[in-house]
Amino acid sequence: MRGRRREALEGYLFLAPALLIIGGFHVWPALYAFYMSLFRWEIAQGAFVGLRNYQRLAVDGDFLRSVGLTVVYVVGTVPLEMAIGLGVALLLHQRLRLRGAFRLVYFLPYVTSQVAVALVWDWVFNPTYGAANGMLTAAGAPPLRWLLQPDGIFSRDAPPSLALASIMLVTVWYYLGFHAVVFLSGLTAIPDEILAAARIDGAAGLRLFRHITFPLLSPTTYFLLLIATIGAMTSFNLIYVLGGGSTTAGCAGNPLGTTEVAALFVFNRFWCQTQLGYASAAAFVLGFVIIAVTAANSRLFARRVFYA
Amino acid sequence: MRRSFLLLSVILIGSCAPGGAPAAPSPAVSAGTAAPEPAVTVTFWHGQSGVLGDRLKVLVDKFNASHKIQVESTFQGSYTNNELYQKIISAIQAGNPPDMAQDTGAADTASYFRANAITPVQQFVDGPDGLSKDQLADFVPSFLEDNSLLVNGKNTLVSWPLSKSESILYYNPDILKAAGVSVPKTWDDLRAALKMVKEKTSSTPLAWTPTLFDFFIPYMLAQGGSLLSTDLTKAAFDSPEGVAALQYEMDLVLTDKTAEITKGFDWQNPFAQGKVAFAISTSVSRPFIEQAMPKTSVFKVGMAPLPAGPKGSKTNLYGNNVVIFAKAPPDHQRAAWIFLKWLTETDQTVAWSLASGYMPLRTSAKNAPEFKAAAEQDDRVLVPLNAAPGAVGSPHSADWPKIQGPLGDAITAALLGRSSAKDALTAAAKKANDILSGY
Repeated sequence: MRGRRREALEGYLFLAPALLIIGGFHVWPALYAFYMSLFRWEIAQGAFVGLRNYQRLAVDGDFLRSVGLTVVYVVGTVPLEMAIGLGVALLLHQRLRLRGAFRLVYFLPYVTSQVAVALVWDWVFNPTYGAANGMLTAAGAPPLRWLLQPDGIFSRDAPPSLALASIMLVTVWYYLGFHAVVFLSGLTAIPDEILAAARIDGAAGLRLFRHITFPLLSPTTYFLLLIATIGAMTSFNLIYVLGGGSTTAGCAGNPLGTTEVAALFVFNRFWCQTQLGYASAAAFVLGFVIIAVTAANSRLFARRVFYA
Repeated sequence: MRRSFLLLSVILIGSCAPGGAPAAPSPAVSAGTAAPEPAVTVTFWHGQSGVLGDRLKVLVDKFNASHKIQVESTFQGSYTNNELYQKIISAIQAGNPPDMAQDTGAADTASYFRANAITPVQQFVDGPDGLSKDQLADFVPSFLEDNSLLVNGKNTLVSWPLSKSESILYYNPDILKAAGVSVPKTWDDLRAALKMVKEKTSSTPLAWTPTLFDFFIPYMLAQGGSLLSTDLTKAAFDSPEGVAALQYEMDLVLTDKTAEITKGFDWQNPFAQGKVAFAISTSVSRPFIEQAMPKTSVFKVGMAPLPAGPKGSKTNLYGNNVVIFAKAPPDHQRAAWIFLKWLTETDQTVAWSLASGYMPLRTSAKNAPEFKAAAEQDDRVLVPLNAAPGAVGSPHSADWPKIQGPLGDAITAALLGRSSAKDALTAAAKKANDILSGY
């Protein structure tokens, strides 16, 4: 009995460092944020307002727009970066010369600071002296206002605006290397015997990919889908810097709020408008939306995952 | 130009050197007898980085060398990017703010005050270590006004000015000469001058990043309008004066096509390269413009007060003030005030002004030998100071930062031709009134 107790104690001791870190830096702040969300809390704690902050969110046009923009951002980036990442992985899986160098080139953006990357792209999209307009003018096309343009790319008032679409382009460019590397490891893990057997049976090219490679990659695809969706829903750095965070008193979401996705809405309400209680409520709602989307993803795709 | 800047730096550093002349004694206090200085170390958070941070440190070191009080000043992030504000409100949440800190202006001060986080400076101004009426009257009135709030119905100094700048009209005299126009005195003159530059030269008439502060607010104030009602409970920017201000910007951008819209400080390089006739920016922009000038095309950057309207020339007051925190022990609060009082004495405010480009805070600065010498060498240092009587800071409402977003969006929407000036401001005023009504 004493031995079992001692064993349990040792187990808890081993768990303690992780529990302290997770508890202190994740669980406690989350609980405290929920507590804050029940108050009118600006610089200092104000009156208890119960769920009024949540009720207000439900009718706040800016918040609802930010949730809509988040959906647009996720749908516009995740499938694209996964598809291109898979394509790049398939290319890099071939016996190419300089394969290592190509892998490095594709992965390089992912290991570069997001803020540095965003500042470089901010320069590329600058309407006055940016490289993007330089190329357009050289090709005889009219210059665009890129990150300053709130008009939608499909119709004037429908998202994404050109500004958000430009940020989505940078996001895809940034993450595709990560997807490529993870897909590459998935491709390497597919047993050669299965592929050889399929080839003997006459499968090749697209058929081999569709019926053998892609199904066997499904655990990797599923993993990437989950983390990319969660990542895109909480995406902040790139959107913050490219959405004007470095120039407009630290508040982003420009122009006309067309790049203010949900994470930015939380930031702006917290730091720019000092509505700490309201921002905490929005953060909680965003958290629940992420959990719901992840659960929906699991329900839709988990059963289609094939573990060899 | 760079030589004169170097000279100014030498003046400051020279005046602060240990072997130099001793610091002038502090002026006599107004009431009572001051107790001996407390031998305490006080913390001072500021947002001056780079060269300005170094120059502020020189002044702090000079104070420390001549006083029992020791000031520990630390850069805590840029105040223009909200970083310093974020640090301060985090420190307030944690219950551990510094003894004193810079803030971005009246709205920040109002929000700290509403949260009972700061102690009004008025008590020290009126106390044994304070200032006489004459000494107080030496400060530029609009600077003190920027630091005052109504407390129990009485205008009370809650913070203390430190670095003040304002919106100024910059121009390229060579382009103006080529276009045959003189420096505009009124907003109508400016519009006409921009048209002439467009017609007569190949230069860009105006390069400008639309913000509330450099165009909309000064124009509206010059027409007699205001941002908020006197009691700060309602939006007032949707008045005919506000609509006229926004319409004026729309006319330049959409009708005359004389204004090129830029992003952030992107107007500076084309202006420095001699491609732009006019720009409007803060008075501390000049050294940045001069640094960006190519050696081959140096011109003398023209500076003038913003054009006038029926109510004269109005300008937006930028810069920062200093607050003393309520959590600081009483002897630290007193020590912080003694430091602030010293820092804003004529000698120091002149030194800081010449070193930083911010305006001196006292009118007596104009007669200080170093300032007079600098003004004789380059009379542009007087331009902001002469325009200071028309300078107006941000509204003294803790809710003002929340209103800036909707109002900024209204201006963007109008300048993109998505909305009329009236509709854009009416929509922004509705949002502002919701905010001011407290949810």
